[in-house]
Amino acid sequence: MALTPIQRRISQLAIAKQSVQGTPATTPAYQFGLASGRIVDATITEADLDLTWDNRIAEGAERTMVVPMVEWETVTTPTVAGLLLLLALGTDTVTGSSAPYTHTFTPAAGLGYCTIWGRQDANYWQVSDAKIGELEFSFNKAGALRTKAKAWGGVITPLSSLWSGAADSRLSGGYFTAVGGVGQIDSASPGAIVEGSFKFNNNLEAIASAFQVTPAAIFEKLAVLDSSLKIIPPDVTLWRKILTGTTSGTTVAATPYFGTEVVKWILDANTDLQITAARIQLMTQFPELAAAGGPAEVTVTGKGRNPASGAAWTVVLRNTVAAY
Amino acid sequence: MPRAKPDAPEQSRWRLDEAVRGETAIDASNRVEFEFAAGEISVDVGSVDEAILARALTPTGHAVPVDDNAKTVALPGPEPAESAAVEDAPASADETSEETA
Repeated sequence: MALTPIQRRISQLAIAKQSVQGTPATTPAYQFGLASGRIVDATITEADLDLTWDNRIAEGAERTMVVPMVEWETVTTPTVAGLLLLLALGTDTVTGSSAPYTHTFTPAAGLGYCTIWGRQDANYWQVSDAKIGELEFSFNKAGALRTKAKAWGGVITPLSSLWSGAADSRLSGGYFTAVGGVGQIDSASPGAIVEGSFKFNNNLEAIASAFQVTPAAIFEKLAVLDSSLKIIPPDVTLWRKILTGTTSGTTVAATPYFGTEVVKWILDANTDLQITAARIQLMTQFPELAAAGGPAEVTVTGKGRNPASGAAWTVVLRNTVAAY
Repeated sequence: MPRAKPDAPEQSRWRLDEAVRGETAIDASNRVEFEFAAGEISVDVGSVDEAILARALTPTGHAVPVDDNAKTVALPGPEPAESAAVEDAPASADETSEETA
């Protein structure tokens, strides 16, 4: 029998926001390629369902829930990044009457639904009534800014043909790097930032219903921002500040240290992406020694917290998209 | 004699330095698109517009409350965390087996 395997190289995702739950978007806004992940997935939860009988063989099993999901990694391009940020944070405030438009993304009380289309070779699937649960931006040295995302959905549907109408988001259109950008802790450079990540987590919960096996809804819980920056510091003032509360402190502080973080990535003069954490609980270690020598490095982790006023975290994106 | 309740709803005043538009959710099930022109505007207290100004545009500096009515609008705070743990999957964890298809 002839075998024609599935070509994994031919893998694409497309995405569009939905106006309401229960009505999948008809046309994707953007389509893009992937570095890793699956174009469609489902977490299937099953359990033994056992009764006694006249032998020693298990009688059966039950399926209690199926959560459609899509998880992927790609390179951060300016068009798709904005749509994912709107879906993951909830608020997009646009200013500007012509390109470049400035999108200010901040955490909202609730999140919108989206439809995700996936294609692998000649297999086409759609996950709708989905929300973006996790969205992570990571960078390593001067390389491309990466995006990782996880979405959970309420409906999974096989499609008979490829979608159409999506705008291409490809590397030829440009992508963000940290070259020429900004990396600051407490409004100052902490040294050489080698790599880092910012992860937004909406702690999604799939609401189970006894009357259907797929989720009745996807619901967002605590909004979390976790950051990590690997730094070659010129001194240990950051460690001292976290320990004592000030750069010259001599006694251990009785409270955590809350600072600020700003990282900005650039594509060109009119296209950039900046994440600002207005109040972030910082933690680091005193640099580890090394018998072989070399520059000391530390990893500074942060957890976004509510400031007294204003948004806890803000992402500002400048691009050519007037509205998502 | 008690004062008659005014027919007109109470209003709050806000200032926007530039025109803004966008999208936000004022609660978990109520998602709205908005557009405001630059300048000073008045909106009804308790209206959707006021929720947008207070919850989405004031925290980002796009809108500034300019009277006491506007300042009394509560900004959103986080719900108490049920758990600090980050879940890998949102499905219920009661079951005995789980696999990915």
